[in-house]
Amino acid sequence: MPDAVYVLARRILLDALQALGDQRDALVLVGAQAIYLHTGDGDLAVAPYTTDGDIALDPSELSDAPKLEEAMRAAGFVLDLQQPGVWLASEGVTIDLLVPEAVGGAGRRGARLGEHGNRAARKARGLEATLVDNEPMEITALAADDERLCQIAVAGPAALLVAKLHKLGEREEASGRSDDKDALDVLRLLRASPTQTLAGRLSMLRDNPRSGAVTVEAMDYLRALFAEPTAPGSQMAARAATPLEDADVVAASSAALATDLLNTGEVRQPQAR
Amino acid sequence: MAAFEDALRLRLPESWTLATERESRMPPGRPAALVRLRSPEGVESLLVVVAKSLVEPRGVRAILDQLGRWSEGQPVVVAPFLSPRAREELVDAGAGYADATGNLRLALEKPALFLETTGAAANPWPEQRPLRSLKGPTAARVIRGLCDFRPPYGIREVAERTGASLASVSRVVELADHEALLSREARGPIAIVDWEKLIRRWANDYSFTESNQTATFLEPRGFQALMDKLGSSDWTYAVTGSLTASQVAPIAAPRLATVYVEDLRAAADALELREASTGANVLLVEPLDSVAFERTWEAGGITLAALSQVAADLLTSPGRGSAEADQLLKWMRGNEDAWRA
Repeated sequence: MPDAVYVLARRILLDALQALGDQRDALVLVGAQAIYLHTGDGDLAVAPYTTDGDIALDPSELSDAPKLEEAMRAAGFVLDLQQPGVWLASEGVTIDLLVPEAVGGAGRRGARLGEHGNRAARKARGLEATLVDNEPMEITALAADDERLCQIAVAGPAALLVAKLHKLGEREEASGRSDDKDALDVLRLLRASPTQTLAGRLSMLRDNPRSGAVTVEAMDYLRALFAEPTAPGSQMAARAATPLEDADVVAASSAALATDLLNTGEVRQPQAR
Repeated sequence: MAAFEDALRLRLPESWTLATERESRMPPGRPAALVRLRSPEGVESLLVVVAKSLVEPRGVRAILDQLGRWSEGQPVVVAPFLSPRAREELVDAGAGYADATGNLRLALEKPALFLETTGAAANPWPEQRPLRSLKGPTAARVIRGLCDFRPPYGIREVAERTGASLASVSRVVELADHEALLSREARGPIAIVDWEKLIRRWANDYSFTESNQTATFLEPRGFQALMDKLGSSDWTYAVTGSLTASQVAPIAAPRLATVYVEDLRAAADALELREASTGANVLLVEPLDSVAFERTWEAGGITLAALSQVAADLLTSPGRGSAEADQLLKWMRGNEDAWRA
């Protein structure tokens, strides 16, 4: 029986997916819930997952109706007054609607979504790859009395890795313990797929005009943050896993898998332009 | 002693005479006898003879030092058996020797005499030396048998079932009997083995990390990846330590996978493990005896070491090992039918 907080998080996610049902083609599940769908519990003793749900939007696939804001409000979500794209549900769980920076239009934080306004979703760099690398999966509720089942595109491990590395790389200087969890997610993603599979997907993402630039940047972040056990990312992952896991093992594992990936022919090869 | 005199008499020319003063109430370390040898010319030599039940090569100096303090004569060491190495040491130290297998050497200047004969090179009575430690491979093999098989059984049956020699079984059983770790019927079979005490006693001498050959590695994808590779391998291995103990006794999440393998290098290659000094999560172990691969069991397609082995390994592992061993031994007490045959 999963933890009550996971049951709640999944319920709220399904609420949001239901609310946005008619815009389904524009949605890609990203973030911790997507990572969990790929990695399962893994065998790290540290619980994966956060309660929040992150959904990426592809503006080119959005229909004019229903309006995002109206649909979310109708389902009981309340837009955060300070931050665009942050939707509050009951019990403190939030749903983030995100738009990759490259397709989010002008503006600093809110994505410019035409008919849908500037506040329904927030821009985020690094998510571009999730619009390219994703596949449909069925998501079910975790509670026995909730029979909902929803099909949605879920970002693939390579795209999720690119997104996580951007999140870490852009905040490296202000790294606090809350980001350590993201570093541990990088290890989860590196563990979840064979190195060659991941390298093949990354090479595909690099060659795609929509995701090429962020993928190249992400590999630079991977090199800077994880290439050594003592590098900042490896150490953040180690901190996040302590005391349930051995810090040295987590740091060494992160570095070993990151180095393997960076050394594959697909990733090493300079981008063909 | 008498055999030594006979051997000398047999080899000396008839014109020589030999007189023995036997020291009947000598404290340890003093000679057992003084032998006066006289040549036909009347030249006399004194042999200071000490009798030992066992002579270790490295003990030769100490024996002779004790003799030297006592008397000026030619030292001679007699024993049931003297190994080639012990004889070498004796010759180097200028001592004579004789053993019951026919090894004999005596070199004197006055009267001039040189006798040397060769007997056995290997001890025909090896089990005469009492076992003092349970450190070695044979002890492991016998103890594992005594724990894993339910008595009653005799020495011969234990030897057959464990593949150890009669002499080895007998020595381990003698030690265990002496230390009240098992009980035997009078001149009969072993009736009860206190297996828990025996395992704990074994752990005094045995050490998981020192008795075996070990090397540390990293499996960056974690234990599940390692288990998947072990599960599909076709070579001999047995998982021991926390991972196996946690199958029956609840413990904190294991941090180190410990796996018995026949060849460290070959196994590390086959499992695609990385060498690691710090940050290791896998310990590969070449066991001191192949008994580590015997009476294994399976869970989820993985071969696991016998619990008697796992308990001794955990007891002598650093960190939380001994606490985990206590949990395991408690489970083994309550579920003897599950692991004892």
